[in-house]
Amino acid sequence: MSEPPVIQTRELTRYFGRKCAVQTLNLEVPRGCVFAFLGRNGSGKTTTIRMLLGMLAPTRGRATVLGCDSQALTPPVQARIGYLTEEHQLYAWMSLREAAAFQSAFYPGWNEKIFRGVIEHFGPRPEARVKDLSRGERAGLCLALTLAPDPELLILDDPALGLDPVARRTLVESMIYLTRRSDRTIFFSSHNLADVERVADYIAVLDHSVLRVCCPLESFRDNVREVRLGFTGPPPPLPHIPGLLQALRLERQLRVTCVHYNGATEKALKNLSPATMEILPLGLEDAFISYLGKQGEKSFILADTEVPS
Amino acid sequence: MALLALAVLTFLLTVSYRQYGAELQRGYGAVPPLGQAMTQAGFFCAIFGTVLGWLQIRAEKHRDLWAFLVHRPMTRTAILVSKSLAGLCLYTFGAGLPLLGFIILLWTPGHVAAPFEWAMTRPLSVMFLLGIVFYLAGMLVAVRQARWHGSRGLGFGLALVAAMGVFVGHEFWQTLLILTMTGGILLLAVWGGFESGGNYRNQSLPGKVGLTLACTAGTALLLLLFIGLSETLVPSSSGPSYSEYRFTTNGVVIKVIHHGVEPPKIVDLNGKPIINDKTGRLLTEGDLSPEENTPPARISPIFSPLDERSRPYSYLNPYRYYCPWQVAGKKIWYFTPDGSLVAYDIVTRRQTAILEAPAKLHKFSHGPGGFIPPSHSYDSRITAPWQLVASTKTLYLVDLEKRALKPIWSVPDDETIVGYWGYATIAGSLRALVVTRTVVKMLDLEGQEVWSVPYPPSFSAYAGISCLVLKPSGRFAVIFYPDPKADEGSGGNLPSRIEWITSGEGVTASTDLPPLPPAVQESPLLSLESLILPPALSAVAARWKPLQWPWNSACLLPAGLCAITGWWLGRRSSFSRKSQVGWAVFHLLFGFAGLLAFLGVQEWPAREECPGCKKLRVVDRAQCPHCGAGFPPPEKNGTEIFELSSAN
Amino acid sequence: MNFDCVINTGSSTPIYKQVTDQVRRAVATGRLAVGDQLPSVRVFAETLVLNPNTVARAYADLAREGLIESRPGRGVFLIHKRKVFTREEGCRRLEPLLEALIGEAMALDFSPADLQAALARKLSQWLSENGGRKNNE
Repeated sequence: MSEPPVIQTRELTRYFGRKCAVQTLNLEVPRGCVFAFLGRNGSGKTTTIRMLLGMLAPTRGRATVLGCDSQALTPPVQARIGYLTEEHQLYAWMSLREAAAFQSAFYPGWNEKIFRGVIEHFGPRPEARVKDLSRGERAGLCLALTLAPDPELLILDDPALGLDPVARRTLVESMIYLTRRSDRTIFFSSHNLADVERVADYIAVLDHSVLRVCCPLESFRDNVREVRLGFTGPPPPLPHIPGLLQALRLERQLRVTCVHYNGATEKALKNLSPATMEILPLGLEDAFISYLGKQGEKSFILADTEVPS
Repeated sequence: MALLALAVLTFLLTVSYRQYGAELQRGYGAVPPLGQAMTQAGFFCAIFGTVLGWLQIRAEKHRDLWAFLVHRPMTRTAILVSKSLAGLCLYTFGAGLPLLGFIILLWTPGHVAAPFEWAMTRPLSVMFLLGIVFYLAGMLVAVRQARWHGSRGLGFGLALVAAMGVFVGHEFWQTLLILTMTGGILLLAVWGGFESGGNYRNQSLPGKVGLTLACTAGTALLLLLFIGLSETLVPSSSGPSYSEYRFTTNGVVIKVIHHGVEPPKIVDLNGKPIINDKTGRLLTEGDLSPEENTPPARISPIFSPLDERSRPYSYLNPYRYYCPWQVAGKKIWYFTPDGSLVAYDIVTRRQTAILEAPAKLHKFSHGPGGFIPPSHSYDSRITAPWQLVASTKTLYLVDLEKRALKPIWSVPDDETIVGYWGYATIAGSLRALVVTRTVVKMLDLEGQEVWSVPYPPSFSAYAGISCLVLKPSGRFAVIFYPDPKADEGSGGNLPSRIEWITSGEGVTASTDLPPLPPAVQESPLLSLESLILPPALSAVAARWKPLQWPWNSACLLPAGLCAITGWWLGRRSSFSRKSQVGWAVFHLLFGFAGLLAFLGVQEWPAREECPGCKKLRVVDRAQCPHCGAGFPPPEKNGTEIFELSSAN
Repeated sequence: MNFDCVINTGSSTPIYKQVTDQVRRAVATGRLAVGDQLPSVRVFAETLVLNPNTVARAYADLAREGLIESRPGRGVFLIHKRKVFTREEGCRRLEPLLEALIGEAMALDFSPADLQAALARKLSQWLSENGGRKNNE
């Protein structure tokens, strides 16, 4: 079963002036999965998504979505892609009914049941104007408008931005509802790792415009480990460890977070002769923060003469 | 917003209509109702069109809202077309309806004391179409994503050029052509911009061409503005140099020589300065009376006043469409195209009388019979009740109150009257000057000939004939001007002929005035102007302001420099050969303005050092243009996790 | 089929492991008995608001352990628990829990004798509630 991936990028690059926002991205999103696209603010996620949808032209490289070049998406292909932007922007003067009528006129595959189902979850009044809706209600309307045409590929750019917990939960439930059909793919970017943990099959992480992770969710978490070395006195200096993410030096402890913990790493750490050595798995959020946080060594040792105030 | 526009335009038009009414009441005579309304309508349509177009695109200013609009199963062209149709409907509603209402107002009798011709609606329709061009320009300004906000507005320049073209164009079809061309360019630019989301690089070629041309118009206008400003700031020490003939009331011909901004010198035909008899000093312009200071009025024998198309007014000028004659009592009399005289009452503004020539004629034919308007406005010293009017064959006296017509003189069968005017002698009696194609005559009120001068045989056709009344009474001078086409053919060497006549004696003297040298511009700044102007514009401007060599070719040098600069910039950014050549041609045609537009429109890719050859290379090619090395993948730092096989 | 799990995102235990652990604990405490039906993958995923693949993986692990069985057309049922763990494996699994219990008791100032008494009391109580079932295995 080697189906072509629904999204495929090849050397996708985008410069804004002199600054490189996305650097030679090579990404493949298989059909039927839930793919989370993670990264810090400004790492290039929205730029990538815009390029995938033809809103922005790449400086170099290309992207293919549903078999079609992203810069030349034809109307039939566009009908199969649902796109939800992070600001949940709609025409402020439209009422709910008008927005539904507007959108449904363009899509032949509009499913009124899906629209009603999603909208009822979020609860806005049918006569309300878009400008009078709360953030969550507007997000619900946008989501309903995006899901109702029953798209094969759903691309969501930070859909939970600014939503209250109830709305966020409803959003996640909608995404899971979509996975009922095995040929539906969801590609979304998010900052909310709790939701990502619930719902994603694969994750990809962009670190300052470079793709550094693209693997199943559990592989990422399994691969990031924290090792706690206890010492009787001040810890010795740390040797070079491949895959080191962060090292925290405390009075009698050395906490090392690293990737791909293997025999060589273990040996290097054992060479420091620690009194105790513990290997801890990390939760997804902690792993993510360690991965993308400032890499290197941090020190929290108070000198004897300093008195904390 | 369209409703607001409707209200504003209706208000403006109502105001101008009322003004017309007021001026009519004050007895200013035949006031054209269209005059002011036209300029107001023009401004209004332009502003409304721009704002509408700008707002339409700006409505989706937020990137995500634009994404919402554009990401649907419809091509962007289709989206643009539907948006534009909606916008144009609004525009027609807001601007077209009031204009239409105004036209209907003018058309129904009882509102305007003048005959109505459908051709009079042409200026208004031109204003309407101009508004559409501005609409496209407004859309273009909003569509472009340009880094400096100034260069966004460059596209607007083309709309201003269209506006200028509307006012400069002489004929209706010329204006339509200008509007179509500018509108077409703007349409291409807007389409290209909409397709690509406002960027330049990934537009299709027609879009790029349209945008570049529109921006070039903008930069050219800016350049002209800059030149104009600098001209006012820099004191210009020299203006044009030219000379002209003037005639004193004694009938002596003098030559006035203007040299830049110096006071003009007055010399006689031999070149000797003239001494003022009274003061003993050199004659200056201030010594001449007002009559002497104005060039004599001309009748043109080619002028056929009945054919609207041959009247020398631009189509914008209301006087092209109807011909007021005079105000008599509470009525205004007009000449209609079919050769009748009609009277409109000022108070009721309706047609009250019609006076037909004995043999009426159809429009556009040169048959005999219908009335033709006099060549100059009426001399107000002439006492009523008899007025002078002529058809192409006969001269009449007409009493407007009693509607009586009395023929006083006719031409022979093979001739036609081409011009006439009446004037009063010092004694107060009426004299009529009649010009046919072969002879100039002066007649008195009985139709008796006072004097007659045939055309001199040395010329084949005349472009103009002037007649001057000299002092002491009974003396006249008739001047014959050569036909400009024949003049060009013989190299500008045809002289003008003067015949002096004394009544009772016939022609007493005649002389040929040598032609004057053409005006020469010596302003150095103007020459500078020609350097900066793009060659394409200079070629066009040369028709009106020809410059001597080498200035008229001097603009090629800066254009060449611009082409070289453009070539160099293109090489830096590794343009394809085709686009390099295209830009070089563009720079040669459009010079400095084109270079500025080029800089404003292009989006320069970043350049980085190539690891293979160590030279700077652009980042938008997969391979280095110098050494062919590709782009390496980003450096790994040991923390990558890549595995795509699912752990299912 | 009223079985429910509590999912903790952000914890260092993967979600699928939380599900398997809670199923196992439910079996051990008697909340789930042999022969009870568990919700299908799809229904369970939507109830817990989880990706169905996660639930599927949990069920696969439990099936590999021999705790549940999927009967086509009928659903997922708890089956007779086969002994898949060796004694050593069982001791290894119990060890951290014993550490936690003893550590907490010491922190609460229990003496070893008090702890043993409490343990004996709890064990007899548990056996009387679930003893019938345990004996049936």
